[in-house]
Amino acid sequence: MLPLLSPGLPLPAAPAACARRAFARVTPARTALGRLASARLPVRRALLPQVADIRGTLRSVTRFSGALVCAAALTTVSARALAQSLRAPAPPLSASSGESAGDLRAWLVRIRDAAVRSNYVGTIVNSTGTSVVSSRVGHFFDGHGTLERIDALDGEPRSMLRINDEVRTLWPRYRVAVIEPADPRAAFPALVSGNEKHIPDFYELHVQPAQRIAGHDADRLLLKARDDSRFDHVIWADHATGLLLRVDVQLAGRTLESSGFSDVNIGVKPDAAAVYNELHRADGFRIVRPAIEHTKLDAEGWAMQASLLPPGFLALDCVRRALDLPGDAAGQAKVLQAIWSDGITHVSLFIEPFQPQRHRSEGLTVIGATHTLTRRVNDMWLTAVGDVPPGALDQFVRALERK
Amino acid sequence: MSQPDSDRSSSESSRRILSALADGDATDGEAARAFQAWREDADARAAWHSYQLIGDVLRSEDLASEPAADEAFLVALRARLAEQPVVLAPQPRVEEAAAAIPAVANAGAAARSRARWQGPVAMAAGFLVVLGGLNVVRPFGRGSDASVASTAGAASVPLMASATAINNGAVVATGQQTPAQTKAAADQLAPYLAAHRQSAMNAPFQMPGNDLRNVNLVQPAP
Repeated sequence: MLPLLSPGLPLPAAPAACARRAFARVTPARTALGRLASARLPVRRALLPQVADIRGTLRSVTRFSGALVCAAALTTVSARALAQSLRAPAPPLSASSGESAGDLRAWLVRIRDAAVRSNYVGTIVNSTGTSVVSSRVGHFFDGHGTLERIDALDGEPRSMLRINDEVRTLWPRYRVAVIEPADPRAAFPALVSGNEKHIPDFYELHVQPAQRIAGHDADRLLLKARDDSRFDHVIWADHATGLLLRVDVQLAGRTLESSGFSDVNIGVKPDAAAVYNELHRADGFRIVRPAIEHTKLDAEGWAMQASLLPPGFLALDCVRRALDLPGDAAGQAKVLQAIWSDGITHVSLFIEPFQPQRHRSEGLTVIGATHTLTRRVNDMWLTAVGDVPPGALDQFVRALERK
Repeated sequence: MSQPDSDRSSSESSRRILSALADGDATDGEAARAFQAWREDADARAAWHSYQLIGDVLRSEDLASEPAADEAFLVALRARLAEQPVVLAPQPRVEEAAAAIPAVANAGAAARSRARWQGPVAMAAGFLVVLGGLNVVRPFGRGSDASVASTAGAASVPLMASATAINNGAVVATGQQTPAQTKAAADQLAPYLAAHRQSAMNAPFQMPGNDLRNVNLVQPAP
């Protein structure tokens, strides 16, 4: 065995120095390429005439039968330039505080666009400070459809397969497939209508110095809460593509929960087989389809006192759904779930009749950044859940009243 | 004069063993002696560092470092390890989950009888949250004066490491729940958390798979 630590290891210093010098020469070129890859909108606009020129040249060149090689090269150049021009532009990157609402919206659009259109495979780790769980994620978009596969790496084996607007959660040990009619976008359509324009009223955007996350240069953003009704969010997005790489939820500079890639390959070739092979392995599984009925709080006999709600939270949806409640083996318990959002984080308020055999523990539960407040109000049992401080949950619970 | 000779001989012997260890040639016994020499003899530590330094510098000049760097690295590593949070591994609760069988949310579930669930092929999904990060707070005032806790107050309390409660406008620390109480609260809350996370997945800054993470047990019906 060749000893790794041997003083006699035949690795002369000269080649290492040569390699360092070569790397030093390559690095600026790499940096320049990276900058070009993430060119901002004005740069791409400047590129567009060149692309048109290239196309014109291409047309004229292809008239000559002997220039096919040249045409292929130019086609590649123009396709890359066009692809660059179609990607959402990176907002300004100067490290400063109090960025404008327009900048925030540009970041939101860029990150959302990257989440949908990127092809990536990676491992996501979620840490609440006292527990760590991880999952393997593959997301593929071919320009028309979306395929996604998420395998939980801890605890009970389970996989989530998304094929366009249908999500299947597979439990292989029990041969159960839970099929949900759509991704949350379809189940909660109000969520995509977007109340981004209100976000700057409640969060202050700070673009902070770039960092390296999961092997990628990442832009770092701080969304600092302007009041006590919400937490701060620190966001890292891949500099080249805008893909979300990590999110920390913080209170007064202390991280309550962190979720992010430990490694990720972006721009991979779509791997449909990874999704469909797993789907076929679930042939014969028992199919379960949870039901969600959309309704309205007032139609159910409830109202919220707007003056008591935390500022900035707008009602998004209200659904009646069955929950897998312990002690309710028949699955007959249906609860009302009302959902609010301030554009960054969500709060759910569950309303159901009080049942003394199940509803025993009144109070606050904390898991990472997720707080849960349970309280009995007369003959009803309320459960408020959200990544918000306990005081905000208390406001939601106290704002609810019978009509 | 024999004592210094003996010391020199012992010193040379330990250098030879350290050298063999660095080359990966030391036997188990020699390695143990080398470790002992490293622990007890400052000269041996300096020699060990020199051997490593020679190899490092041959590979890259950037790897050259002062002998004190080894010790500083170890001290820093120990300090970082001491700061690591203790990960509490969740344990499956087979018998308890089987005793309290939650049903999979299902459009047809409401119409099914309990007896049908006891059939041999019936399945039910139970949820058990990861207990590691869970803290439960015991009751706080339900009266009209139970007011809102301030985040400034919450900041002074380690939310992840101890229980907190809202009472009369202040967040106060209370005692930890017993494991049984914590499990009961986890069982009660898991489906709510799962439903909430599903509805929150379209928030702008959600990592994929967030709605899968706190569910870790599916239990068949008996």
